[in-house]
Amino acid sequence: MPVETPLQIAPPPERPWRTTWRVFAANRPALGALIVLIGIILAGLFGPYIVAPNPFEMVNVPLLPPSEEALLGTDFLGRDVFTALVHGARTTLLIGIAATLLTMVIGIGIGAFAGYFGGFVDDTLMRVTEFFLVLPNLVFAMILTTLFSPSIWMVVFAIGVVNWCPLARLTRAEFVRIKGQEFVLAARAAGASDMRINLRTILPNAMPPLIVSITLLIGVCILFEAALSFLGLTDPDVMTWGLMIGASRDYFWDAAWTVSYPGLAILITVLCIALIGDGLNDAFNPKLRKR
Amino acid sequence: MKGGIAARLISGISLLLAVVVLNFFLIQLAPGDAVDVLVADGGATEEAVKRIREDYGLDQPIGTQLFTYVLNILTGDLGYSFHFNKQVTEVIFEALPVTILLGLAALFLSSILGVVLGVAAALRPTHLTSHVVTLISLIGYATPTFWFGMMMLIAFASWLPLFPAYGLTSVPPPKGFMPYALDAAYHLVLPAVTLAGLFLASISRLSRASMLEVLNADYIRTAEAMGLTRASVIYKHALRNAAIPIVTMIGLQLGQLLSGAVLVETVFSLPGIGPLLFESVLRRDYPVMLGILLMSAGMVIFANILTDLTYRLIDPRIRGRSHAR
Amino acid sequence: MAAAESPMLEVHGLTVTFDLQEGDRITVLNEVSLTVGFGETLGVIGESGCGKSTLALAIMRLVKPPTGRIQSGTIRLGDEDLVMLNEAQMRQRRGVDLGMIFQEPLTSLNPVYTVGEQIAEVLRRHKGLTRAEASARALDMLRQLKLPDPEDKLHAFPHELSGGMRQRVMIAMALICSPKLLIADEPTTALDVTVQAQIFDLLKEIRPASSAMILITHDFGAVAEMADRVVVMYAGHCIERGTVREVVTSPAHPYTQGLLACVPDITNAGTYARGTLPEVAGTVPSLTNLPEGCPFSPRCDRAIEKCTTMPPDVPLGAGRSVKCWLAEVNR
Repeated sequence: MPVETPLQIAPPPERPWRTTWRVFAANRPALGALIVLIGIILAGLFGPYIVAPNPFEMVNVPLLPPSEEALLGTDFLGRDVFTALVHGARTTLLIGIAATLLTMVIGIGIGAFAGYFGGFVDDTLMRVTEFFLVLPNLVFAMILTTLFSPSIWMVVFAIGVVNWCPLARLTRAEFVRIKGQEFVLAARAAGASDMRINLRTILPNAMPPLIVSITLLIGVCILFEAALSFLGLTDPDVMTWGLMIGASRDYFWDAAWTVSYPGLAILITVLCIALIGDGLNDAFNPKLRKR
Repeated sequence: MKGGIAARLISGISLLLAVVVLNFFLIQLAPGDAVDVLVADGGATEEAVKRIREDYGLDQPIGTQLFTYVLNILTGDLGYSFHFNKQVTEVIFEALPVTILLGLAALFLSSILGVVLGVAAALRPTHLTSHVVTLISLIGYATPTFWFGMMMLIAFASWLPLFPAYGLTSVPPPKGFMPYALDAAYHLVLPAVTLAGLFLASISRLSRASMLEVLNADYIRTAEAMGLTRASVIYKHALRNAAIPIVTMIGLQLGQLLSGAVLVETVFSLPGIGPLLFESVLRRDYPVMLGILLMSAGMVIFANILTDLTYRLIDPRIRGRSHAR
Repeated sequence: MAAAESPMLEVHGLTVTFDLQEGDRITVLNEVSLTVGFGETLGVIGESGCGKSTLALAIMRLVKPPTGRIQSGTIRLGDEDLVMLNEAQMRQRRGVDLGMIFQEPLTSLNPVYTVGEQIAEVLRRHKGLTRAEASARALDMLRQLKLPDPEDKLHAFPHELSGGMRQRVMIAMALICSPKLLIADEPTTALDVTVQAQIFDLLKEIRPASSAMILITHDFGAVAEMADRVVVMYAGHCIERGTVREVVTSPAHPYTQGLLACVPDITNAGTYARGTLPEVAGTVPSLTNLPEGCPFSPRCDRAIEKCTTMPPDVPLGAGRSVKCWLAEVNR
């Protein structure tokens, strides 16, 4: 007679976000990076209230190496490097995120329209994307800054206008792929309007690769802002890490601390973002989610 | 195939024209009157201002102005810089060789080293090499180029005074072609390594990924089943296939290379396009700025077309030759 | 047809394991033994996942450590044990003493080289011919394989050919050095039925008379057409073996009986209950979760208590055996 296997009650299926978190958390570098990044964010949020309020204030002897008096030393104007670093965390992160948001709006907007409507709209928008891709981004951004008087909004604008193309391409590819799937057809058959289909049906399904891209984009924007403020093409009254490096350009030779710490700060922040992005990428990978 | 090249050339030219049009509108959008924009603070004479009004047709309606502008560019007249007191084309072409040299050196270095590292890592996935590649690609991605340059300077020009700290040549520059060339090369080592660093990250990562994917392909299994030597399997069969996405990526990176060169040249005080652009931005010298934009866009377009052609050469599936079935 | 005095290939007690990502180790081939005589074709039949492809790769020593590992057993080709050879020595044998053709010819051919180049390369590697000589031999091979316009095809790329032509190219590559043993892993599964027949005919014609062939398939029709003897595999075990006639006309293992009963027979259509086709109930067990004892027992309608331990290979005659307690009990 056939051998019987006992009936097993299967446990309820895991909710998708929980799976994502589980796979992500199992990735130790990614988890570590998340913790460090949260630390940096907290430093940016609360730090400026703990250290001296004005990073531009000349508090000490110029070019003091790291010592008891100045934790990380002072720059050529006697400004405290540590204070500037903490304030810089807030501004750099904020500008990075603002620039990312602008890039998202432009990139995802254009990509979604191109992908969904196809045909002439698609062709035109892709030609536009191709055009923007031909302009080297820093060169173009530098020229854009001349159109305005220096301010952080100008920087955000320049970064956004110059970096949206890869995101647009990705979004378009995702929309084209998802558009062809049956549940979109079902939504249309049920009479949903284009806008509704885009927002409620397609976009949520496109999220995984977009989320990874957007995470990495924050890192790109931070690096870009650093380059622009290093060159001095930003609001001189806003202390960012890039500005610190650029300001001390003539002095780093003998006073390495004036540039090494802000640079390290940028490196660590972007590195954490990259590790988190990789971790998310793995976490969304269906093969790795099955375990 | 012929149709392919022609189409790409036409597309490239139309993109270039679009950049010219963009430049025109940037001039219009810039704060201040168009004349002021074109003259900047160069201290032009009455005479010169009048000539500018005529050359650019600034009293005409916008449409005509655009037409005049485009026509000028097409005849090779990128305008005149009052700061440098030269034609824009002259200014740019003086600075261009340094940038091209730097760019090519960095591209060469990063491509070769990147591919070697990536392939070695793919062949030994658990070995140290693979971890090195992962580390390099992560840190390389996150490091600001200009800061890396400064750190390189501190390390190799200050603590270990092995390399010069700035400039293209010693002062005064050596006489004779060979000594001059060697001197320049010596000065370009640190900048080239700095610029190469960033690309090393992405190229090594891509090489490893591409090679790993190819090594898992069925046709590699077939090559092994036919008893081909290990060297043949890896270098003849696998590498040729893995090279395809790598070549594509290298070609498309040129825009990034230019942006990186701007920063590196600024840090190392090299007389290239970078500091030129920076100076013209500071002084609002639009003819030079926009001239640089146009030229760099042209270079990117050229690189794209070149990459496309190379891609067709390596991958026979794209070529479109037909054989009777 | 009985094997000659000593067989061309003798596999004995071959056990192959794979280490999975989660740390489990599964046994893909479990004490597999088989022989192939000179000039003989052995069919290896089984469903997906039974280990037949791994068997082919294992004989070629293409099972890659560290994930895949030959744990024990011998593979004697002629008077050599292939398990004992190192990689360099195996590379000398592959293509020359052993040849293999794969299931999916499009992905199994290198897309960036012409087919002529790929065939000639095998020859140049093993026989040291010049480019011109090897090219000429390749052309000759393509003619023998009845490829239309062979001169033209020599310079074609794989993506420019049809599936049937690509498979012929694979056969050319595998046979050009006249190997003693050819392993064909589902050579026609990816092709149209009409092309299948052509490929089988070609295989029969073009093989050197004394060489042996192992044909791996899931199709009894192919086995009946091509093979002299057959081995039935299930979950990594050889559960039955014998001549094709013996196994097809009087299958001894319940699984084989079930498989054969599943082949729809139009002459017996009347005996099928209305609207149903016969099937073997249940599904193939996952290799990570094998049942105790005989792997087929959960699906077997004649399982007895003894089936919770692995049955031995019960001999039923010359070259005929089955791994089943029922056979043991009925002796």
